[in-house]
Amino acid sequence: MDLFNFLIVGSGPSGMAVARILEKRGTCLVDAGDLPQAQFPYASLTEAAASGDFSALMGEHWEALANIRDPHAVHTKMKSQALRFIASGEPVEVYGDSETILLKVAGSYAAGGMSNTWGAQLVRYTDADLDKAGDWPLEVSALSPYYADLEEHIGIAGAVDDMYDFLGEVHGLLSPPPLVPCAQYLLARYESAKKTALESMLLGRPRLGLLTTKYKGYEPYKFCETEFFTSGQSGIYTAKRTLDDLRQKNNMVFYERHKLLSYTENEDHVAATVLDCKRNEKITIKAHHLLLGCGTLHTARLVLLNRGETGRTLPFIDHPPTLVPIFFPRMFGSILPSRSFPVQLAATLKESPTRELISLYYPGAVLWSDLLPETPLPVSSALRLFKNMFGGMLVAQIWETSTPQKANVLELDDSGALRIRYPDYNKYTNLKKLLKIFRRLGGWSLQRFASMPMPGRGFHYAGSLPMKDAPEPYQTHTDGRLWDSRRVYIIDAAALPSLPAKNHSLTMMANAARIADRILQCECSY
Amino acid sequence: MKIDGSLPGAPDELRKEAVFLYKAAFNKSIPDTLLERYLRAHADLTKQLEGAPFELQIVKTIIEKNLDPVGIEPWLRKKGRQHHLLTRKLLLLSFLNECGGNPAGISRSPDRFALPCMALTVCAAALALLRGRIQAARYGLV
Ligand SMILES: Cc1cc2nc3c(=O)[nH]c(=O)nc-3n(C[C@H](O)[C@H](O)[C@H](O)COP(=O)(O)OP(=O)(O)OC[C@H]3O[C@@H](n4cnc5c(N)ncnc54)[C@H](O)[C@@H]3O)c2cc1C
Repeated sequence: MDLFNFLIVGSGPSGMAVARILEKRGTCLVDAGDLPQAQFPYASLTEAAASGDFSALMGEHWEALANIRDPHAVHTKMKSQALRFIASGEPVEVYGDSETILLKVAGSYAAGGMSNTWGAQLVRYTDADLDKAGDWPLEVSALSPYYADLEEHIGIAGAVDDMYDFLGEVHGLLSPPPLVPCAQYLLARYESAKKTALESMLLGRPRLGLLTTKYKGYEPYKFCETEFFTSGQSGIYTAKRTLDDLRQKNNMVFYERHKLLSYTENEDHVAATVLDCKRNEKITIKAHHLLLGCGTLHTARLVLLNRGETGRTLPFIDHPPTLVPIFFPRMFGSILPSRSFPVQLAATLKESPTRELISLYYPGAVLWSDLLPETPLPVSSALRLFKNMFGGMLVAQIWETSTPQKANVLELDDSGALRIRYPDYNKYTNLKKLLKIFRRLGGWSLQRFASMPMPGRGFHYAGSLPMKDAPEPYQTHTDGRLWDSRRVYIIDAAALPSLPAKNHSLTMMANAARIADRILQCECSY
Repeated sequence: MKIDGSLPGAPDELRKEAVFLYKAAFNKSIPDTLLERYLRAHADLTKQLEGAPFELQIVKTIIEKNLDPVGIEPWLRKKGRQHHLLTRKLLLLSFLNECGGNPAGISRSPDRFALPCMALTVCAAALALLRGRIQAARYGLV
C-alpha cells in the first residue's frame, strides 16, 4: 500500500484551497461527494418558463413542492431536482431552547461541496472585523498573500468604490455585474445624497466570484438566472471548477465517492479507513498528514466519532442573516430584466461598531410561488402585485458578527448522529437606523417585515474546533493541527474561532491555504 | 414523465375542489392538464397534502358555502408553523400554474400605470381580506 505525503479529505472550497498548494507533492484526495443526479435542460430561467416544460421547473418528483407543508423543509436554493445532491450528507437535527426540532439540515456529500449552490460572495476580513469578532489568534496579514492568490485564481468581480476598503483590498477586479434598474436607482440616489449629507452608510458593488468577462480561458457568466435550478454554470466560481482542473492536470491521486470513516495516528503516519461508496468496500489509505476539509458539521462529527465522544458538546456558530424587503416606489413598474444576478449591491453602516455587511438582492431567479407564503396578501393579489412591485424591490440580507455562545453547541447522540442546540441568537439591533437611511434614499420598509431564518439556515457553520495559541482539548493549533496531534489538521471553518459579519468562505480558504503552506515550510526545514 | 398521466379513479370531490379553488385564485376555469396534475399531486404527495380533520372541515365548508378561499387563507397562516391545508392547496395550484407554461395571473410585463394598478390591487386585496375575515368569523373558521 502506498504511503502518501498528504491525504486531503473533501473537495469543497477548503479542500480545493489546499489541493492547489499540495498537488505534485505525493497527495491523495478522498471525497465522498456525488455529482448532480439530474440536469436542468435550459440555458436560462426565461427560456425554461417559456418552454412550458413542467418537469424541468417542477422536478420529476415534485421537488418544487418540497416546502408545501413545512415552510422550512428544504432551503429554497437547494429545492430543485438538479441541486438536491448538494446537501445529501449526514442529517443533523437543530434544536432551539426546547426539545422540539427546529429544523433538519445535512452536511454536504457533493463534489465541490456546498459551493455548488453558494451565492459566490467572496470577501476578505479586515483587522477591524477580527477585532470586533474577537478570539482570533491571527492577524489579517497572515492571510493576505493567500487571499490574493485565491482571488487571482478565482477571478473576482467588484469595483473600487465606497465599499472597497470595507470589503478588503483586491487587485485586478473584474467589472461588476450589470445592475437591475432598481439597484441603479438606489446607487444614483446614494451618490447624490452623499454629496449633501449622507454620513451614515456606505454603498457599492459586491465582491463576487463571478466572471463578467472571459478569464484565464474560462467562459464568462451568462446571467441566466438559473441559480435556483442548477449548479456548475460557466462563470460562477465553485470548488468544482478547481477540482476539475486538478483532475485534468493529473498531479495527484483521486478517490472519488470514497468516504473517510475513521483514522488512527502513530509516530510516522496516519492510517485512514475509507469506504468505497460504489463497491461498499473499506480500504486503508496511509499518509504523513491528514487534512480534514469535510465542512464543519462532518469534520466535527468525524473527530468526535473517532474518539468515541458521544455526549461531549463542542461550540457551534452559525450566521443566520436578517432579511428585509426594501421597496422603491419610484421604481415600481420597471421592466423586470430577464438576465441578472441576484446579488446587486453591498452596504454597511459607517462607523458602526457592529460592522455588518448588508447584501442587496434582486428577487429574480426564483419561482414567484415560492414568495407567496412570505407575502401577507391573498394569493391572487400577491401575484398581481409582484409584476409591478419586483422592479422596485430589493431584499437586504444583513450579516452580523457571530461569536461562540455557551448554549449553542453541537454533539453526537448515542447513534452517532449530530445534534445542534442553538437557543441563543439575537435580533438585528440596527434595523430601525438602517430603514431610516434607506428612506432617505427612496426605499421604504417596516421593521415587522424583517425575518430571520432559523439557526442552521445561515450555512456559515464554524467554530467547533477553534484555533487557539494554546489549544485545549477539541481546539486546534494555529498551524491547523488538532490539539494533541502531530499529523491531523483541520482546514475548514470548524477552525475559525468566531465569524465577523461577512461571508466567511474566502477566509476559510485562505486559512486552509496558509495551513498547507506552513506544513510545506516545516517539511522543508526537517 | 412520472407526474403526468390521467387518474381516472380520482374522487369527484377533489376535482370539484380544484375547479373551485382555481377559479377563486385565477378567475378562470382550470385547464385539463392542470386539473390532472392537481389530482396526481394529491395521489403522490399524500403526506404533504393530507390535512387534520379540522382543516379538511374548513376547506369543505368554504366550498359548500361558496365562500372566498383566497380572502380567508391569509387569516389561517401561523408564523413558523406548518402551512394550513387551504394554504397548501392554493400554493399547489400556484406552483402547477407557474411551472406549466403560459401561467394565468403571472406576467413579467409591468402595467403601464404601475402605481395606480398597485393601489387598486392593494384595495382589492384589502377588500378580499375583509370579506375573508367576516366569512371566517361567521362560519367559525379561525
Ligand atoms: C445557499 C448557500 C449560499 C452560500 N453562499 C455563500 C457565499 O455567498 N459566500 C460564502 O462565503 N459562503 C457561502 N456559503 C457557504 C459555503 O458554501 C460554505 O462555507 C463552504 O462550501 C464550506 O466549504 P467546506 O470546504 O468547508 O465544506 P463543504 O463545502 O461542505 O464541502 C465538504 C466536502 O467534504 C466532502 N466530505 C464530507 N465528509 C466526508 C467524508 N467523511 N469523507 C470524504 N469526503 C467527505 C464532501 O463531499 C464535500 O466535497 C453558502 C452556502 C449555501 C448553502
